[in-house]
Amino acid sequence: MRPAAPVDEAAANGLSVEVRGLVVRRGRRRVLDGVSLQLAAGAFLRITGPAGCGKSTLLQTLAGVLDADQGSIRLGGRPAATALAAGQVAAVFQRDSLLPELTVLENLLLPLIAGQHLSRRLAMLRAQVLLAQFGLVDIMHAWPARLSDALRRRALLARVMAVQPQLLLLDDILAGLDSAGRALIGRLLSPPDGRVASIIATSSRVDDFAHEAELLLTLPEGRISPSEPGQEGSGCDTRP
Amino acid sequence: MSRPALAVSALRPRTAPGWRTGLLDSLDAVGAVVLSPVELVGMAVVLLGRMAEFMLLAPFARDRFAFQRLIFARDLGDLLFGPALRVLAICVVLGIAVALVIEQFATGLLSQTGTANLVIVTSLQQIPPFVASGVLAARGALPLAVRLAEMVDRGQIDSMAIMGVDLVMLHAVPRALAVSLASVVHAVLAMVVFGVTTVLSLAGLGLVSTGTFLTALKLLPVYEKISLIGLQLLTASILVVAVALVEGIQGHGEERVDLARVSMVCILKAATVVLLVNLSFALSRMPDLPVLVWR
Repeated sequence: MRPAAPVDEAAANGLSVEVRGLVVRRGRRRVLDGVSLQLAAGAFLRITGPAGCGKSTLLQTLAGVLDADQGSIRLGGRPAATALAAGQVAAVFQRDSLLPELTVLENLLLPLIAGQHLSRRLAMLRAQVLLAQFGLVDIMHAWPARLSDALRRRALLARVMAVQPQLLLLDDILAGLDSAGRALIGRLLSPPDGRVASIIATSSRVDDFAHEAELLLTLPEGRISPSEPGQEGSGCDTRP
Repeated sequence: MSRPALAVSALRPRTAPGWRTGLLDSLDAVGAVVLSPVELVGMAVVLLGRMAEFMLLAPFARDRFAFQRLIFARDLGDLLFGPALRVLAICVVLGIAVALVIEQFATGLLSQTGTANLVIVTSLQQIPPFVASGVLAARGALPLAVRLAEMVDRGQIDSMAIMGVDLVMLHAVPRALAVSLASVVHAVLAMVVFGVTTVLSLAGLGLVSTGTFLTALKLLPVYEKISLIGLQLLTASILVVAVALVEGIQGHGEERVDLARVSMVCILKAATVVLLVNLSFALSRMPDLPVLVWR
């Protein structure tokens, strides 16, 4: 895959991503087979492809949930483990959801208090800003089970944004939403005043995040074919 | 900022069947069975350590443990009031059954000496903790195992671990504490209900008077054994929650978790643990009985 479209590094927030020769096996099957890609800091990459092509596996490996059998991942120019340990990465996986035993506000506060060990006052301040930004103030004390799918998805996104990640990994977050919900989440991820993190988002639909993302990676069926930074083609199609 | 290790979804390789694979799978299965008690005890030790940390630090670090306290309060309320009716019903049935058994088989032998009362009082030591921990194993462990399995299935544990939140212990520590406390309350409730039901049934059958029962109650060192009963309930509670933990976090990458299987294995293992713990503690208290009957 060729390098990302130019992004003003000085102005951009977020981590750059550099993946080289990534191989992930599941049993005898190579789900990822020598994948390489580069993403500049602050860029938005969307990955599309049919089910089972390795989109989720790629995100899980970037997030440190799965171990790579071969290859290396560098985030922000450092080994991935450093960025992960510093809490600079956040992810929403495919079937992720809010915790049903906590209200929307409590769901937002949880990673701030239990994960980042912020004081309750500071966490509450940060949560209130995000609730307002994501239009969730009216439902902050509601239980997730009582909310629509679109509202739950917005709250989920607010939760990961609360930890102020430098790299956001989103696995099929738009699945099941109507066009208005998709557009809203797209706008929330790329606000007019500038993006706050690098984003890699997967989707099974080609038109998801079409306006927001600068880069598109289309995966062929079955597996990601090997590709080297700077090389076009090799099974990976990138379009600015 | 220190962060817990990332949760790693276990990946079980799927390979084409063959004799070597079959042999390895069999060895794997045997090893899992052999090591499962070790795994369980290890998990119980970790849980005990985290419970101690929570109890010692929570009063001073209010923000850090805010969510554990919240979950503890909800779990305790749920476990105290939810199973109360079940404990009452089981103890009433058991009390009447024990009275009928004594009436049928031991009337002639025991009524003269008041030993029937001793049998009741002794069973007061054994049955209520058994009932309480058994009911709470079902009520406390099963929902936790299913909830954890669901979180593994949805990738919630992994996504929260990336943000520094240990969802497993966040749920398990308050629940283990709540199960321990609730089991003591339910054991006391069971003792009262079981004792009253049995004595009233025997009195109704004309076998004993309540006065002789109270005398027998003083003879047997029930109250001296309270700490032992407490230890029994604590052991059962922690092991039962450890069972739920071990069963709940059996994730296999992107494979869907079989909630029905998790539920069944969890309840079977929890029941076995409760049975073994109660039997071992019951045996440790048995030497009192022959001495008292002989007297």
